[in-house]
Amino acid sequence: MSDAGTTSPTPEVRPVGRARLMDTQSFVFWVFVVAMVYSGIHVFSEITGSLVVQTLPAVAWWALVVWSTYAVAFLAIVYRHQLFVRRSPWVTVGALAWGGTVAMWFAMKANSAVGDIFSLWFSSDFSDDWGNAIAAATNEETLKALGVAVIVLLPLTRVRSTLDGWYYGMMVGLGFQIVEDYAYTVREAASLAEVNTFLFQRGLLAGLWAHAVYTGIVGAGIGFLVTRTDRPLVRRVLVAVGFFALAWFFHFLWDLPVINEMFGTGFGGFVAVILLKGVPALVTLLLVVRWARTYERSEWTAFVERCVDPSLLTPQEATDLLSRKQRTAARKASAAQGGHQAKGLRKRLQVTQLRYVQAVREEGPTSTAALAEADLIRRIRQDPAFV
Amino acid sequence: MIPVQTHTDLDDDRDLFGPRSVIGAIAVLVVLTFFGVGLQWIDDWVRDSSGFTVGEATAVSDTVSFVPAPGWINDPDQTFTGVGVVAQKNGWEIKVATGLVLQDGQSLEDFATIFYEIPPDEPGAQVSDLETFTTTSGLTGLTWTVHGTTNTSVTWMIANGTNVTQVLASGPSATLDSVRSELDAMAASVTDSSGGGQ
Repeated sequence: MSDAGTTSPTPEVRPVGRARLMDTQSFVFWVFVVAMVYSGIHVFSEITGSLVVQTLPAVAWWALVVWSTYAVAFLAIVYRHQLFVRRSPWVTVGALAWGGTVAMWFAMKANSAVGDIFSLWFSSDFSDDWGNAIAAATNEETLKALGVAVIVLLPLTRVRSTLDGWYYGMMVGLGFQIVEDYAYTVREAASLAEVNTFLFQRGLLAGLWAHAVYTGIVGAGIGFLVTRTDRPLVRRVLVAVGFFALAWFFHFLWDLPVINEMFGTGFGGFVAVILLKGVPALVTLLLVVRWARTYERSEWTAFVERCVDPSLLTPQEATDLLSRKQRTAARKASAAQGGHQAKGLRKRLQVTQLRYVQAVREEGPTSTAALAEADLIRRIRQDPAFV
Repeated sequence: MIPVQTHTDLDDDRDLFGPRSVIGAIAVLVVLTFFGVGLQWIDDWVRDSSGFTVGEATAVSDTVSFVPAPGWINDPDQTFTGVGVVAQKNGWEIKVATGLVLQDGQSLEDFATIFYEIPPDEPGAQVSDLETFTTTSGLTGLTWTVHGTTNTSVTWMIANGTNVTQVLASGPSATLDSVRSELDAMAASVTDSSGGGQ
């Protein structure tokens, strides 16, 4: 058993640093703060000025509980979807806040102006049928993408991969989505039951392929553009622009009213249209994540081979960590040999090894965090029940 | 070979007055300014250049007004305060004119019939019956349509006492459907606060 503090295979590799949001050494950070405070005040006053909040506080509070719960559940799903890296909670909060305040407020103003321009140039019918969808897709996707760009521009957020862009994009989109859903609810719901209906319609039927998904696609493109410097610039730009165009199209399609009654006006037709509009976006996002994860997996493996003490993470254990399926298979194998307790220890070892690799990468093999995880790995191995 | 992520120069780029900080902040501000202020400015400019404030009444004379529909642009060369306002869109033109007066004992129907019986310019054009209608402010009037293969015209005559406001719209028959509801809405929006003349 070796000491993690003395056995780093490549001590010349400098740690990348732990991600942080706050960086007073950047004007971008101050722009971020000012824009968020300014927009937050406006969004807050917009919401608290609604008739429901003023006259039906119980409905407003219930809507807040419902959408907060929804947000936590959605966030947990995305957070768990990270295979090798647990991204910074504070940067996550920053991304959510940008989506819920800055992107939200500026999009409200921009959508109103562009809708009006379409009415003036063409007609109110054109604006209703096409203009609103064009305005929302263009303004909202750009402003949410700007949130990802702001995070990239902050040096301490340590955006280093396509999947970093995907993750922070989803968080920006989720923040936007939740605040928008809440604003719609307190503007239109007149009872607790209607709040639940809103949750069902906007959260479950419509929310699975909405803003978070669109901005996840856009964010992956931005992540690829700025981090995959081993690829030609033209290719990276094309990927980023292409991903934005895809997200724009899915958003436009979702907001387009002219196909809403394509399958009739009944509930079946309603569901069919939602599936037609939403499923392609979700499938695209999953394909993008799969594509980006292929590289992440290779890069993680290369890092482990070069920089991680094999006594703390053996080649076989590293292979077992490459996918959720392989992780589960390794736990089942431990369970087959040592029962339930061995399975639990194997799971704990896997989680600790992932944290150890991240600590070595971010803070170095001699950091307090890495040494603590290394110590825990050794103690798990020494447990008599461990197989 | 897959490169391993390491600490890079990018991570050390933390100079407050460095390009990443300054140019980045300016770029973010420019985008936010465009969406927060620029688009609103363009919207105001488009509104001003249309000559109308969409959704608000436009004065044709001291007493007569109407509400232009979205997308209709004022034609200043044909607009004369106190006489008539002309608006255009997609090849269509609508003119709201005042100054017509019924003679003693003359009904609006008699007056409108004079215009109704003028033969259409386009041979074979279909002329609809004279129909009554009421504006949103409660004024009554008569309307008819001359539908030709190439062009169509729609006329409204609106009376307030002896004062008559004429609304005449004309344009390509092929695009009538796209503007019909807007034409009807503009005619229905005519108000006359003159008190009805004699």
